[in-house]
Amino acid sequence: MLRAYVWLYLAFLFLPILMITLFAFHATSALSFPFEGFGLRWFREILGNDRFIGALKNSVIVASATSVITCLLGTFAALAFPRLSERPRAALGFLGFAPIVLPGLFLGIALLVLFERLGIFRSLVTVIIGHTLFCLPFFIETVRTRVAYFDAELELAARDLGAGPFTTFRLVTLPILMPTLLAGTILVFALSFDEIVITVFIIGDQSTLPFFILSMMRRTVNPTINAVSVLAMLLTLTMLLVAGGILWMQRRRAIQRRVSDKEIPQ
Amino acid sequence: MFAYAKTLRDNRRERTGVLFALPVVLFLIAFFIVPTVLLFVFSFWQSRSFVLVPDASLTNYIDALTRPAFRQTILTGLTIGLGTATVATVLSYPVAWFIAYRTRTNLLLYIIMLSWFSSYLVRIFAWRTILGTNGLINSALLSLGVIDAPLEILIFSPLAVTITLVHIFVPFTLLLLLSALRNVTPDFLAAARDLGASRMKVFFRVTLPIAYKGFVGSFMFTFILAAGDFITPQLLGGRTGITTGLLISNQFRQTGNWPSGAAMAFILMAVFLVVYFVLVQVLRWFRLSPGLRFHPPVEELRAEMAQAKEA
Amino acid sequence: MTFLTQPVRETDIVTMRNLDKSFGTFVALRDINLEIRKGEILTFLGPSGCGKSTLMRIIAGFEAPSRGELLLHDQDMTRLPPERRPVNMVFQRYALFPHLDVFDNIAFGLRIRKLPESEVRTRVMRMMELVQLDKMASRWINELSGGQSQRVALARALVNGPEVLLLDEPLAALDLKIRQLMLQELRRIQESTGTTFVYVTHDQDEAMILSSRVVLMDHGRIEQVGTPDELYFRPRSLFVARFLGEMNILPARIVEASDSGVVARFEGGTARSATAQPGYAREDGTHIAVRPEAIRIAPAPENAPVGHNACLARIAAIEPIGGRVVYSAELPNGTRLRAQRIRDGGGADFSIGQPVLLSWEPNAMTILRD
Repeated sequence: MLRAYVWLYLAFLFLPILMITLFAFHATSALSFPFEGFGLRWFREILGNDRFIGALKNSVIVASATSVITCLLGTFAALAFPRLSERPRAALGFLGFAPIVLPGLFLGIALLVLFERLGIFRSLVTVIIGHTLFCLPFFIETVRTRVAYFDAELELAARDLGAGPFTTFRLVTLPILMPTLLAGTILVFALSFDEIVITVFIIGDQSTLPFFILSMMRRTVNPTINAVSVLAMLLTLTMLLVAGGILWMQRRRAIQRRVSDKEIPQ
Repeated sequence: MFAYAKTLRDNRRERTGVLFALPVVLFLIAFFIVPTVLLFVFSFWQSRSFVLVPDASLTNYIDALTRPAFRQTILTGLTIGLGTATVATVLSYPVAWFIAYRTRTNLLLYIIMLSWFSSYLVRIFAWRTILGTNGLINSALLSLGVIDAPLEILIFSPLAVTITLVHIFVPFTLLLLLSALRNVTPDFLAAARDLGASRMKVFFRVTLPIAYKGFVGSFMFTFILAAGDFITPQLLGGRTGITTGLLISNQFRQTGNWPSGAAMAFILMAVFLVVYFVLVQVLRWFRLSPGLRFHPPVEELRAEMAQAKEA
Repeated sequence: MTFLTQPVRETDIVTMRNLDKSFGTFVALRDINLEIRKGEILTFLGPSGCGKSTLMRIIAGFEAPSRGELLLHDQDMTRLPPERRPVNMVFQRYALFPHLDVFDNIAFGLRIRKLPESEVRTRVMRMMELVQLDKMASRWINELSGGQSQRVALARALVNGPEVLLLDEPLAALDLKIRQLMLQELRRIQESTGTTFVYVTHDQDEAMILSSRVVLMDHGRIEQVGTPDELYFRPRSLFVARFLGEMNILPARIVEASDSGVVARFEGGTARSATAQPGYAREDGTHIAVRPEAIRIAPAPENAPVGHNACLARIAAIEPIGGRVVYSAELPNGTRLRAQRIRDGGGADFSIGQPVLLSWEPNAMTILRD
């Protein structure tokens, strides 16, 4: 019973997405069944569209910059947690989490007002700032649990063995954190790549991929949207699978290490 | 001596912590706190023929609240938000339960999370294709002869928005519910069953109170995300599906009235807070919250016992 | 496969007949036949993975047996869900509900059964008095020590007046001092309520101190059921002999079997039983088992013949352990026997390398079937 329900749930989640994918390969412009044959027509059409290519390029720029900045800010924030005493730690935790408690709409208009008041010209830079604000909580939460897992004792042990703070960081902290940081960064990339709610308020004349899709959707029901969607999903999914793969490898290596530890005769 | 040395080291550690936290704190002050405060200040200003005039009046709030159209958007937003949160929670709970107590790997969770990342807009588009006037459901029903004309209720209505938002947020709801259930170890469930509780009672008397924070958090998160969404109502809501979020976003995107939009945003936030407090009170009323005592103070109990003994 | 169908005795609360349990290809329990008698403390003892917890979970109703039946008095309760069994459990990590205080935790079962609130209060108060928690009624669970949590868990189960109280390694999470105290407490509470206890543990000391009867299990099978003394002094298998306490075990072969007893030869000597051992025949392989405390140790006599139940050895190691000393004596073939003596101050009575004569009483020895 429950098992059957789980399958139903998965069907609800994935059938609409599969349907979009199917229609992207549809030979005709009809968005209904019966299916009239496969073709790459819509992909050809969209890949020949300069505005699409431009939006894609912008999205990659924004997502990359957001990932790098979020990773830098977020990693230091995550490392700060075990070092702070209780009150500042709670304050930092609250502040770092607060942006996702508010709907994106709120963040979008607040940033819009700020940029407008300061006379900051809206551009990809402002989009990057908005995306960083939105992605930071996710990144910090991801890395924070990992830091809490090992940080204090391991670092003290390294310091105790005579390593300076910088050496400790380079030789102990960073290697252990690396996979998590990488996975977190890719997660941020995926979030930024898909972000539209904040973006619509703080983007200038330029366009990101979701912004491009949105303006297409506002105008017509155009079958090329299916092709664009498939390309966007493909990119995001690839990134996520890479992140998942990294985390999986890390876990497997950790488990193997634990197993081989046990095999050492006592 | 040792204690002193340790304090020194702790101090240095704490200072490093402050240094590490500084960039992110500055970033959040600059781009989160300041804008929020600014928006709040803004909500008391006036917009006179597209020129912003600093002011400190409640006009924007009063104007908004006295407009029936605005109150209607609040109601629509609440309906969509509560509907989405309720349906998403009810749909996800059995799956979260299944993952928590019946599987050993997180594979299922990862698969479900993949769908969360498969683009927000794409999913809106998918539901437009499914629910549209010439969409899958209507053409299927037409060709089967169940209906004579396309069902208009399916698209451009709060219903369409709710269905789509459920689809968009359900993986997120599931993730939060699952982490809530991680606090309720199988032992608690077994203990409750052992003490005579049926599955239903186990849920209301043990699972829900223990995972209270997670349940409330998951419901509220889904509610806020759904009720604050404006893109889905814009694309699928039609005339009956205009939410406050959409109204606010229009004020800020077209040549709108920014201060009025800001005031609406804070009214919306206040509504969210009210929903939260009502939810908490309702759960308390039904005695489903943790930290409640179901017995009088011990002294009273003792007196009661003594009386009973005398009688 | 023979099915036991003898009628249930009046004193038997729970009867298990031909119970099997497997998880996939792993066989957790095989052919369990056992009864739980009214008012006893029955202990399931065995190494981890022996099936004792699974058996308890089957009695509680958390698992269903793959085969066989479970009777409550003479009613079949094999498929009864846990909430409908007159059986309650004390969980290893207590599983106290963190959202309720001590009083409400204990009242949980009574309230589920919709008892009138006045009766709930009376029974909970009385139970709290019994487990000496009456001052803790309004404490939250996270404010309790390990021992207090243990008492709450006990009270929460006992207050329902179960026919059988199941205790799943209830002392495992406590430190030594409190564990000893709680053992006394369990005894006291059991005696004053008269409730039947089923107690799961891997700790043989707990089992020996507490039990009326012990069920020793290994690899999903019952190895032996009996009083602690029966298990200790008359083990029926090599496993039981090895599991409880320290035991010297020598492989041997029957050389004489008659109505008056058997004689078995081991490398280094012979052993003769005091009583008849039916079922043994000449040339049967066997083991003889003797406890270290039953072995007498004396300087080796010169040229005197060594009789039955004795052998010559050489002291190989000396371990003084507080009030006693354990000598390891090596037989000519290299086997070591351990012998224990009570120390009355001063040093060791023997020195390393010294030839000694080890001997034991025939009734202190067990001849085990292979």
